[in-house]
Amino acid sequence: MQAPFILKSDRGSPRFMARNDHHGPWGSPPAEEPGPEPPADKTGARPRVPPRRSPPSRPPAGPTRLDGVGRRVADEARRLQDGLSRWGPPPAAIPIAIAAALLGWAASGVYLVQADQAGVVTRLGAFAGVAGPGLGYHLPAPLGAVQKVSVARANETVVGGGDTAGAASREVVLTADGNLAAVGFVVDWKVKDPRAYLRNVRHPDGLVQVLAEDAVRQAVARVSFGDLLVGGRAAAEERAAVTLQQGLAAAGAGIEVEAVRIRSAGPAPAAAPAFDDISAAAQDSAADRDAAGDRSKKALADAQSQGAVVIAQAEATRAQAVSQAQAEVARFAGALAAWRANPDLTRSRIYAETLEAILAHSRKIVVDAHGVAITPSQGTAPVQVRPLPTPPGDKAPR
Amino acid sequence: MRRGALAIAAGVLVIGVLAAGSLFLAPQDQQIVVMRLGAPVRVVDGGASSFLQLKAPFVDSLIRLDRRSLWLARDGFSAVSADGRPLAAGAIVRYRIVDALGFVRSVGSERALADRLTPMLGAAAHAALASASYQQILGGDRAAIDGKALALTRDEAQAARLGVAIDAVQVADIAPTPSEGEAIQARMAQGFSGEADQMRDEGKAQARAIDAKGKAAAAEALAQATGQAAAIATDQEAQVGRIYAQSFGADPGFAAFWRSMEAYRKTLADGSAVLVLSPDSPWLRYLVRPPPGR
Repeated sequence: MQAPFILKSDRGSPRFMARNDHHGPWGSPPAEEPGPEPPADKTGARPRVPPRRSPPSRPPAGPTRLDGVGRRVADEARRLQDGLSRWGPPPAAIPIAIAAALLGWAASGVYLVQADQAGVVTRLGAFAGVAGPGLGYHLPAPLGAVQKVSVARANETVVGGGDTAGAASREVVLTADGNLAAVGFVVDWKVKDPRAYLRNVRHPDGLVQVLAEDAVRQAVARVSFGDLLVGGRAAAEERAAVTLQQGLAAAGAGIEVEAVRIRSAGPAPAAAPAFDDISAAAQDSAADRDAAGDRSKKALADAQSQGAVVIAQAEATRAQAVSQAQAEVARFAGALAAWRANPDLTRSRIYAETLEAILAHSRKIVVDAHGVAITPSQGTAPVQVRPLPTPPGDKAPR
Repeated sequence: MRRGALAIAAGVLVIGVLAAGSLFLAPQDQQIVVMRLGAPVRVVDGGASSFLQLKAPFVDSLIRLDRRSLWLARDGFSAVSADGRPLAAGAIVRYRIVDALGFVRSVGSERALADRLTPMLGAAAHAALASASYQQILGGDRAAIDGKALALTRDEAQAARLGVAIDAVQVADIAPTPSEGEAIQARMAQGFSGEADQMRDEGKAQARAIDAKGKAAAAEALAQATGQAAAIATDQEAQVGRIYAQSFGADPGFAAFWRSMEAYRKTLADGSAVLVLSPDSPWLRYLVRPPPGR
């Protein structure tokens, strides 16, 4: 803001030059100056000034004074200055530059506090008030200052990594039953009192972390490992939040703890593989049971189908036997009818048919009364003869 | 004119340099020790004086100290509980620099202060923890322990004239010693392994039970079917018997003859029998002796 004005006035008004030199913006102009000028100015001003400009006037406005001086001096000055003369500021520029510089300085007191912020304003280093959202004004730059603090938004302090962090980076803490748990947690907190937050404790964010670690440690020390994993976590979180709030309040940190959330809890790193094996074992166990269930179902299904086959076979056998019996009975009925009509003839016919059927397919040996074979069968030695079965009912069919 | 302007510039420059070297602000959260040629001469308390302050340019330098509460957290202390269990412990201390001159004279910087405070904290934590049982330390209210540690640290700091006021000491980060921690983890791992083994064994046992039950169910199903088949066979006998009885009952004499003939046909007509016939048998009667002509 101020740089362009300084640039213009540096030639005509050395007062500003000296003054601004103190502020230290000399580094910035060179980009806009013609090449050799800016460094030559301090050194070059010296040879230029001696030509007896000194006695008369302190007041500014170089050009007007030049009119009244001898031509030789003017020529000399012109020759020395040459192209530089057009850089001489117009007379009106100086007060404008002063005014603008003052205005710019005054404007440094304007500040904007965002909707979720509070501004802690100081005047000469002393607390002057807390400003809400919107535009505000404090004393210009070094005299007044504002520090903006986010008050509406919750801050997160993450300890021991989040959900994705490995067990190695978590806090390893003792549980009530003497086990070691690895815990990762988050503290949600807000700035409740911006002035206290900035003024009472140095590095309050770090204090939140340090106190939270111990608060969680104390809280976890009161629940068992099993409860920490399932069921008892909320109580530990609640207790840790209370402890942490007490610690921060004792320090006057101006911080309100909204929640302590234990995001991950498990066994300490060295015990973790064995712990993970439990769920693998549960899977294995379930797989064993499932396989056995499948086997049982299959065995039952096999037995059922086998049983169905047995039953079907029995039914088929029954059907066959019944139909066989029926067929036989039908033939018997036919034979019986014939027998009733003519018993003798039928009996001998049946007898003959039967013997015919038997003897047609059998090897026969006819033996005489002395036991000698009349029709020797091939390879058959004479055998003991037993009488043929006699047809039932009578001695011999006639 | 140029010379005059230069003189003005030089004057302003000198005034500016002098002003910058001799004026300073003490913010409310700072206390500033003015050092003259390396020796502390006075303190400007930002909380008390909020105006531009003066110092001698060039000869006076400033050390800015915080007026706020400062804190320091240290861990890795070893301790033993009253009932003899070794522990690892830490401590958090909250303090303020209340005697800035004394602070600058005795320690000079916060880093040096931390170096001085750390062993004091370790000793205080050790002594405070030695007064409480392991259970009290771990699961109990720590207020008494913290109070003891605070008193001890306070005494030490006062004796050492550190220029600070110890506001709070909190024993923290209570943990088992590294070797005990390893032992605990090994025990836990063993427990978990046992649990896993038991789970697997249970799964196997359950699987065996399920298998046995399944086999029993299968056998029962088969037995049921066999029983049903037997019933069918019985029924078959009954039906067949009924059929024969109804039919053969009409003439038992003929039925016996007919049935025997059927049986002979079935048993003897398969070609396996060798039949020895006597020429005297009625069957060969006509073969041997034709009937007499009429």
